[in-house]
Amino acid sequence: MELKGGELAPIYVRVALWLEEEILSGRLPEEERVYSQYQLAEMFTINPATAAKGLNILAGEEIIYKKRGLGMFVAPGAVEKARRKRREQQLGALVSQLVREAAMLGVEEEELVEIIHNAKEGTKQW
Amino acid sequence: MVILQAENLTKQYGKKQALCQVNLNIEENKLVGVVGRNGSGKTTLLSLAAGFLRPTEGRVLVSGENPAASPRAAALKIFVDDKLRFAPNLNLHQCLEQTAVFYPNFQLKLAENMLRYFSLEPTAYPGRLSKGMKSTFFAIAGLCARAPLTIMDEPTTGMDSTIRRDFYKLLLKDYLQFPRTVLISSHLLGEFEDILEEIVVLDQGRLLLHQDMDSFRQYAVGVRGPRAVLESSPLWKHKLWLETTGEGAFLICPAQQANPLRQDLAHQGCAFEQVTADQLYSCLAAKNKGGLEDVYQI
Repeated sequence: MELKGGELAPIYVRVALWLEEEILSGRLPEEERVYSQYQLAEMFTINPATAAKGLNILAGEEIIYKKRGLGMFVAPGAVEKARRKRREQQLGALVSQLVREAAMLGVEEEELVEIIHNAKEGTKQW
Repeated sequence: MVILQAENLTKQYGKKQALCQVNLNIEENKLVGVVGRNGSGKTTLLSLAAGFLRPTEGRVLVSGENPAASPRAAALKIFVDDKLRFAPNLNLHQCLEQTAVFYPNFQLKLAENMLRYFSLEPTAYPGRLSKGMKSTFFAIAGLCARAPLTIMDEPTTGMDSTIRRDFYKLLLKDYLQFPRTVLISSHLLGEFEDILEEIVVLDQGRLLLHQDMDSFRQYAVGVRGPRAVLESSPLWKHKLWLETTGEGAFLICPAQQANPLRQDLAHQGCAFEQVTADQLYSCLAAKNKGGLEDVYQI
């Protein structure tokens, strides 16, 4: 399996982002056990200590929590927390990038809004 | 618990100092990469750790004992490179059986499965294998020995890229099954840096650094953007590496200098990138800051 996030972030951050997406999509529901550092290491062919760092980021944000002797579990309210965080960080950054690219191409705000609207319509057909 | 300790470790061959005053502590259960240019002392360091060489000055300890003199320490470690060290009359399977005698954790069944996976005939002779197949066999033997200190000196020599990929996966997989310290030297850091926890960099016989991979990688960042913008930014004088393609440029510079300028540069069309350990190591290892163009200035 490949980690997304390209060249932007350290591996452990990309692990955290991937786990977050699993949680946001519902593939990892609240109170479900999260992959261990060893499982993540095997899945992505990375060092387990790196995977552990990714897990710790999410634990620090209280998106997952540790049950002694049992491992890490998705925290209640994790989806909401993750959504809020992503909105600020990821979405904000993406929008800035979009606006910049549009400016470079000479695309006015109205046209940009229409492009966004069409893109949204496109995804509805999935 | 420290499994390998080097104290002022020095090895001199006549006038040449292969290793000079190396101080190093490696803990148990870590995957550690050892990198350095040719002649930087990697093989010397690993051979000393294996007890195959005696230090000129200083000492090396495996689990607190001298690996060259202590049978206990000797049983804790295994050294893998591309040299044939088995008796010539033993076939692959017999070599594995012999290795099992010396290593209490040896996994014969696992080794047999690996032979099969890599299409190695148990009745073949190691001396008659191709370079790549030899390396593959030695790597299998070394991995299945499950020695607490596993030393691998360029174990992938001669292996094709597919076999290398499989080797790194097997190394990680077996490490997860049976944790141990693996010290692995290679010129192909970029291929397997993700599975490593720590990195040791040697330069001209000296220890340049020993760090965990993430700290090492985060020392520097890559910045990609219009050359004009980068040239006029304060980053330019701190650059460790530069590549230009027409009007664009990519440079690597210390994160400390680059991070405060991130927003500013982003507005001017520059993007920040994570630097791989391999890229960063290349910056450190580049002996001349000038480019290959200088070679052609005749």
